[in-house]
Amino acid sequence: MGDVKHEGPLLRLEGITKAYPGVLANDSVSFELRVGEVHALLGENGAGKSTLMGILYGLQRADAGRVLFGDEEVAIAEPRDAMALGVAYVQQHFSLIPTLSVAENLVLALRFGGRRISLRDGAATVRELSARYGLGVEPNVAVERLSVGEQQRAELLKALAREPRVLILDEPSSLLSPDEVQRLGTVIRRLAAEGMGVILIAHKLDEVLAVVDRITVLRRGRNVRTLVRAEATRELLGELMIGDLAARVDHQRAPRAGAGDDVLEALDVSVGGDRGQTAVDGVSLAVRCGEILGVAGLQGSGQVELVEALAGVRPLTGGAIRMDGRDIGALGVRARRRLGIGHIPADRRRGGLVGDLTIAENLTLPVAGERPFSRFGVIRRAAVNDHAVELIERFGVRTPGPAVAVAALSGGNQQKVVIARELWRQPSVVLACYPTWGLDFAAAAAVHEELQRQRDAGAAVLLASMDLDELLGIADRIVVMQGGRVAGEVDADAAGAEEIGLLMGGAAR
Amino acid sequence: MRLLRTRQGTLVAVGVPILSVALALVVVGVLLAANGSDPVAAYRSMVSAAFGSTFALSTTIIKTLPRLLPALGIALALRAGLWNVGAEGQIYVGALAAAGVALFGPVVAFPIAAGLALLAAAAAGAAWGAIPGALRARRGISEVITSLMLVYVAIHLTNYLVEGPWLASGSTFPATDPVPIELRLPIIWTGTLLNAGALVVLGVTVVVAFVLGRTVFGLQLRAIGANDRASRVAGLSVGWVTVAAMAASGALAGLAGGIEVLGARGRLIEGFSPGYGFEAIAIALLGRLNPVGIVGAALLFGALDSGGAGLQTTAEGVSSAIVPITEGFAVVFVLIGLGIVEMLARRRQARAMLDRAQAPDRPIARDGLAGPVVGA
Repeated sequence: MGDVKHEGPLLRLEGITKAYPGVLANDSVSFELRVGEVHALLGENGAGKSTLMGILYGLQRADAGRVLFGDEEVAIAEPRDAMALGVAYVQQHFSLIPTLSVAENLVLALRFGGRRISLRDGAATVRELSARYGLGVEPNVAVERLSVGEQQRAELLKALAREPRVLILDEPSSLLSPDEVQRLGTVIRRLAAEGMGVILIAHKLDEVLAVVDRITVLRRGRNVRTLVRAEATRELLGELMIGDLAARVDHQRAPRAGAGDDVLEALDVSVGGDRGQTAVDGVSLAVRCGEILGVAGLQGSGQVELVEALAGVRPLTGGAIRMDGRDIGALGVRARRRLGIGHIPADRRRGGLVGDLTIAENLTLPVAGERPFSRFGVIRRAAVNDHAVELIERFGVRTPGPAVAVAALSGGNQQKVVIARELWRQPSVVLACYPTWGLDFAAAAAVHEELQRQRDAGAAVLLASMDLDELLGIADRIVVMQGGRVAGEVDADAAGAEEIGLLMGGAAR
Repeated sequence: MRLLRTRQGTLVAVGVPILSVALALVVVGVLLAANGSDPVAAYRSMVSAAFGSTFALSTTIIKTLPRLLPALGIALALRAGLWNVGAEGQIYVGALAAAGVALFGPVVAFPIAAGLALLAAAAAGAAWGAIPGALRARRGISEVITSLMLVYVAIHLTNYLVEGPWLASGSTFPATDPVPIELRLPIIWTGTLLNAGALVVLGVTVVVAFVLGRTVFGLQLRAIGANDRASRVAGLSVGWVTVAAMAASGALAGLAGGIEVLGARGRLIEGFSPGYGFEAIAIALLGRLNPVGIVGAALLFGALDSGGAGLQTTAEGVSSAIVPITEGFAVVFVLIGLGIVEMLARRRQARAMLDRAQAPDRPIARDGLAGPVVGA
């Protein structure tokens, strides 16, 4: 593994800069890929990995910087240009059509790239590539009947059929079992041995260390360092990725007086995910009143599913949930709300609000059947309206009025509507999943303040987040999830902070 | 369902359907002219047959009624995101139930007897609609397929009863005995055939509009139709509302069937509905799922029906087949028109986003970036 073939660079990115409103996603980033090399791009969520690869693949355009193939500068305006240069990108979200067979998907994908082959040739190509790299993919099986691992190998096969020189794999292991991860690693090494340059976007350190030649670490849109496999250790990489975590802890924060009793308990909870995988695998935790329990984790760690299960949106496949000692695992969403659970769901547009309804209608949706908002099933408009006006004022939603469709609001104001709806009754349990995702600084700060206010009022708050700053800033304790399990629990102080990065990346404790 | 998004400007809501109908008439007019007929004369005879006299007007209203209630029902279900394409079958089971009460029910005085029969009609339609609703809610089976299949069950059940056990004695025409006078809906406009069913339909239309706009059930129904995931998170019982919406939708169609039996037809006749329940889908779409719009669209279809009948007697060489052609064009144009409106709105939105971002990026977020994962 250590014997890197030092041939000339295959590809270079120089001084790539890309700004989004309010964020410098890439700040003069440079990256080099050699022939026959597996080069990992490592960093936290939001470090700028996907932006950099998006620019290479023509999904985004850089504000500044150059892309060179060999020694020649190239212009990549759209994915077709990148494909023509021999770049293939296997994205995290599969782009296979579920009802079609693997071979049919392949033929379609090649046609999009401008190559027409027959279905028979497509099937032959699938068989040949599958045999050559040990992918074990059958050409004539419908994609929807494949396991997640098989789907991923089919996706990989689709990319390989274009005979790329550069292969980008975005978080390829996030949905795979350990066996499948190992198998994928073998395939990757094999591809590199044949001279392909492989870029691996990842954040699980162990898996990265098992297959790479070199590693480039990004943090907050900048190059931190590029190192070869031999100098990399888990500890060093964790430190490079996350930086001085201790400095991120808010030392101004008043120490919490001891939190109270356990209010919400998850006991050995297991939950299925959208793809039929086990998303949460035997998680136990307890949230006490008067504390914010942070749940840290990377994408796919099972945070979202855990929160949905606690809220009653997603059924349990195992374990129990207790609130104030009472088993609530079998109760529906509405019954749990009545007991005093407020739920800020992961995706406000899909899961939180009904865009076509007005602010007033959204604010009363869960309680529309109760007085004073309705009587005998007939909505009392005045009551609904007054309620909306009051909450708009109290939670600072910026809108011309309560009769505006929620879809017309900005993200921050939409989130304020969600928060107002969930928190106006002072719930005893608050479940918040990625509550500040996509919000600007001021809006995020307002959300944090509100969560802290709920805690200080005695609520048991669970905050699931991928953002370590957020967790270290306002959580009292932090549970780290990885691969559907609890990887460990740490205090939200300087000492605990150092452990988090390792735990999130899957290191054993 | 984006095409049917109900929160758009009034101008769009009213303008697009009217423009579409006008365009359909123009296109059919051109077809007529190309065929050597005089479109102006044809349209004139249609207008006169539909609105030219008291009797013509009453005929138009009579032909509007059996289309209006099923269309309202379909719209109700669609607001909840459900395609009830089985209104035709629900009309038939409603008619069956009303006829059953008329033939075998208790002998009571007029308003009670008729009321019972109409209640039975609505209940039968509700049951017929609730089956696909329950299958969808419990098992995730597409209500499009099941509601459509149940149409044929209902039609053949009707045929069996009307040709066999319920056949009028000594008759070969497949129909039951006439409905006893205690159940007949009386004529309310002397000199015409317009019966009290019109008042029932009017009342029910108002109730539907009220339920949709002003009740908890209406709110839940619209919420589920627009975003069932968010509705579940908010604690709504998506399954229950699904069943209830489909049942209500079926009840309206069933009621229409009952009114036909007790009113215009006076008995249950095999094949009495020439596809009202299917036309109602077009009417619901043309009326933009809005009760007022649907009343207008149903009136249009009623007028085209009575006008088309007039064509056959007055305008020479013009087939009444132009009626369904006109209807078809009108619906297609509405859908195209709404598609264009939606496209323009999206383009405007994209441009606004572009301006805001002041970046040379592509304006529309890619699917991969739509989740809560910023891969920045």
